[in-house]
Amino acid sequence: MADVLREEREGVFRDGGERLSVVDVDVHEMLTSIRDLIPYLEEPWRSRIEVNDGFKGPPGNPYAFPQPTGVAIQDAVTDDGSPAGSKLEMVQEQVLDRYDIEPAILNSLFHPTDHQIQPEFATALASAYNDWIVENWLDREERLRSSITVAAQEPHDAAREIDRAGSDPRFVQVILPAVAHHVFGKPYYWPIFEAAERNDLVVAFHQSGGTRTAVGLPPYYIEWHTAISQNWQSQLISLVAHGVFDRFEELKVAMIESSWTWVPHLMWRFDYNYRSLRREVPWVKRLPSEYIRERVKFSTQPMEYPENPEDLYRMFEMIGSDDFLMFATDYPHWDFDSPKQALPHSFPRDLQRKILRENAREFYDF
Amino acid sequence: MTSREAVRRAADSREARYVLCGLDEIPPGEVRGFRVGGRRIALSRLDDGTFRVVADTCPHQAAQLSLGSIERMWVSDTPGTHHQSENRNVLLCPWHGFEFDLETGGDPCVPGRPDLKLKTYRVEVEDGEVAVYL
Ligand code: FES
Repeated sequence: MADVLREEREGVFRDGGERLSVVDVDVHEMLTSIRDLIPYLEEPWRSRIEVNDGFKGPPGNPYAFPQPTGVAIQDAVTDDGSPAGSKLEMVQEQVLDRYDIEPAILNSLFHPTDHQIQPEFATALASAYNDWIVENWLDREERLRSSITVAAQEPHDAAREIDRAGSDPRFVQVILPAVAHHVFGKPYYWPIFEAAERNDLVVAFHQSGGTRTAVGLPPYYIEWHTAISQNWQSQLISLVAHGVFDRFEELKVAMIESSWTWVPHLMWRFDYNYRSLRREVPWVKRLPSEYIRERVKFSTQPMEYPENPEDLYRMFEMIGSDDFLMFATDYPHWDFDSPKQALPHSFPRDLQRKILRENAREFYDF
Repeated sequence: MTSREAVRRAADSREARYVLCGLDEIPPGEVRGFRVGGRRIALSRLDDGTFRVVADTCPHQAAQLSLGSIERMWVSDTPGTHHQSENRNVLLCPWHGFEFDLETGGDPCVPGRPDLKLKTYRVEVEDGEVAVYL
């Protein structure tokens, strides 16, 4: 058990005398089907879903999950066959109440950015999804916050959607898919970062149906899942190299479900390359690692478990910032982490407390 | 390259004065190496005709810096654009391309790292000769 979480009674943790609610930066809400969005769409888009045999949704993860309960942990499987994560009551019981989590950030797995065609339709889907989140999740549970879904292929429309949805303070970040086919650092996408900064929102990256590896879609899911941090790495490198952090000086970025033990390697290599190759990107004013340490946070999940837990703590120390990690469950997925178990004893007690709670509270201004 | 040995001790200084070459022997934009007083130094002539001297051994992997090149440092405040600095000149290592500011000897990417800084030396043009004080 994480040393800092002392369970007093079911669902309430204390650190000494003080209640210690956990912040969870990655919970997934799901549509039961794309038809849930029909009430939130105007024509001409509504009927594209409403008709029989209409649009079924942006492309999802193409693998058949080999686990006994598919992509979900067993507890999260629903009775009526709807997707895990589609029932608020189960999220309340299995995440918020069970672990005294407040708040939890909902990260949509519905990414109109992956619908790389019919751009106006993709934009309308994003708006509808944000309205659906408000009515079906945020208005019904005050311990939830959410990400804003956008269709990033239309950055000016995405910026308008960020302004519109971002006026509701329960939206705390903009979510972009960690994809292999574009780098979001390119100036083409800057309206999104500009709007996020203007609305004091974090920009987060999370995997999607468009997430690939360096070899595309390898034959087995285990190959894909082991290699996908390449997508976050490429996106992070691009944000630095294209000068996004120089241009948007208040911008904050969250890497969600990317894993994090690769970060020391990336910072070392990137800094070294910067000294040799700075002339190519002279608008980048500082060592890449400095932007990463100061402006980027990572979710804990999926934690990695070396045989010696001290090794994991040494990896953390190499990053050089106690503020760097934020706890996440990734509920309802099979690689879920429990806040009671995720952090090994090698992590000092004060640090556990920061990771489970304080770092996210400060980053998102909760 | 080694210097033409023309060593005179300045009577009122503990610095040793070494004449490296005649004023016109090094054209603007070039850098040349010398071994004087037991040290390897790199003499650069900037495009305004003035001279700078720094240590000639790269603190990274010990390449001879005088085999590299000098330029006005590439700078930019706008992503996607490049222009050359009005006043900063850098020496580029011939191996991995690290840059060294010819005024301070520091690497502009890591100005706070003393272990990655080159020693700089005073250089003067005197009577048509380029002299360094070590
Ligand atoms: S030896 Fe000079 S940069 Fe590597």
